[in-house]
Amino acid sequence: MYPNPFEYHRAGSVEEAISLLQELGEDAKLIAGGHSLLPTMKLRLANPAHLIDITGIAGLDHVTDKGDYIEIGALTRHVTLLKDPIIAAKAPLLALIANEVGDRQIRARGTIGGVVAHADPAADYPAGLVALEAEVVTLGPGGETVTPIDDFLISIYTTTLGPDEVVTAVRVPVQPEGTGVAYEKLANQASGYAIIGVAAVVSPGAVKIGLTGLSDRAFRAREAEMSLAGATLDLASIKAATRGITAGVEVYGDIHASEAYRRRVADGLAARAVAKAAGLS
Amino acid sequence: MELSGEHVFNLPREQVYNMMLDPEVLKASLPGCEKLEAIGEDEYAATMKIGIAMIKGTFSGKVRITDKVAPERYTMHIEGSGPQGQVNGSGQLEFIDNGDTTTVKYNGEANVTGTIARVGARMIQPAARTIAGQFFKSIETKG
Repeated sequence: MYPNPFEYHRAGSVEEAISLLQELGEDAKLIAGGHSLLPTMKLRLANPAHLIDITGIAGLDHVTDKGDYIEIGALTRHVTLLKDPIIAAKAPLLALIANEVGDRQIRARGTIGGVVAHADPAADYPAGLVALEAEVVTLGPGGETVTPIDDFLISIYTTTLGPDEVVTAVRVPVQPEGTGVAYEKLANQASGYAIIGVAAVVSPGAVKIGLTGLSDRAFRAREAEMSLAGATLDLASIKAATRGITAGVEVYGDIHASEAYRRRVADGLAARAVAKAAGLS
Repeated sequence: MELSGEHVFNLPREQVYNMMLDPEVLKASLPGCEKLEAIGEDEYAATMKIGIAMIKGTFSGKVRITDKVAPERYTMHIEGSGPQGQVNGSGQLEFIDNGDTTTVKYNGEANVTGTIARVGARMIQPAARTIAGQFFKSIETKG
């Protein structure tokens, strides 16, 4: 199907994108990889009157080692994260997750900035980003803002990003020596989206678990994390701690998986992810 | 799709009940409501611009209120259509007197059809819940 007509604009800088957003108002959308936006437009679920292409902006496609954290430019594509040596050495969880995103075409076009700005509740990265306590860097008329991902994500397709703000980078803290990571996913066979995705980060003395696909946004499993922190990790203790991992969280069922099924499979995938990150399987 | 929940108002029951049947209050409180006009007894024509983020459309339809038992409960029926699909459903609203506060419990069933149901099923329930939340919060500020 064809999208409704729209006007195409090309921003040469983040500042230009911001002033176009201000000028064109709520009928304008930024486009980067376009692999979420374009299908939605072709189905005519979304009908923006203006598209502002930001892919020509220089300096937003980079992976930089900043010491305590790795900065990933918003226009960095999934395939880059999959192959980048800095990511492989300092933030390997993102490479694992990039490998699970969509298909080859989507990985070649989609960007990490697009994923966080779009805030699809079934997207893969947010599970890892909440577990890694990543931060989102945005630029708006008022300057630069750095927001923890857990505060940035609000609900389905909804973030703290203002209507005239642009995501410019994602910052991922470098984990301590001896950290293991894993991402376990039950994928929708048609779309590749996560019906359930669980990211685990196991460091000496600390366990962090992020889940996606279950609710209106990705979230941390803080109770399970606390019961695993400092504990001797074996299959039995992990299984016990991850049982009922979605308790207290609103889980939505749909045509692909009921609420009860999602909760049950989340327990299993969480146990598997933590065990793998801990080097037990 | 089932939709249920509750909201606690810091207002007396009689007032909450009356506000939630007052077209002016409803119009001002329903997110994106552009028009709400009486077209008969307890029957209204409504136009609402609803959506989340980039997925939005103007829906128009009818709202009908039945089984009124003031100030305890009523039933609301809705039917509407927009560019992305159609919705029709009904729900019971129950007003529980807690002294200083009032709990409004809602429990309904809605049928969503069209493009939105085919490809956007997973976003309907969270979206409906978000809109209901905004609605109750907005009513609260008008008390």
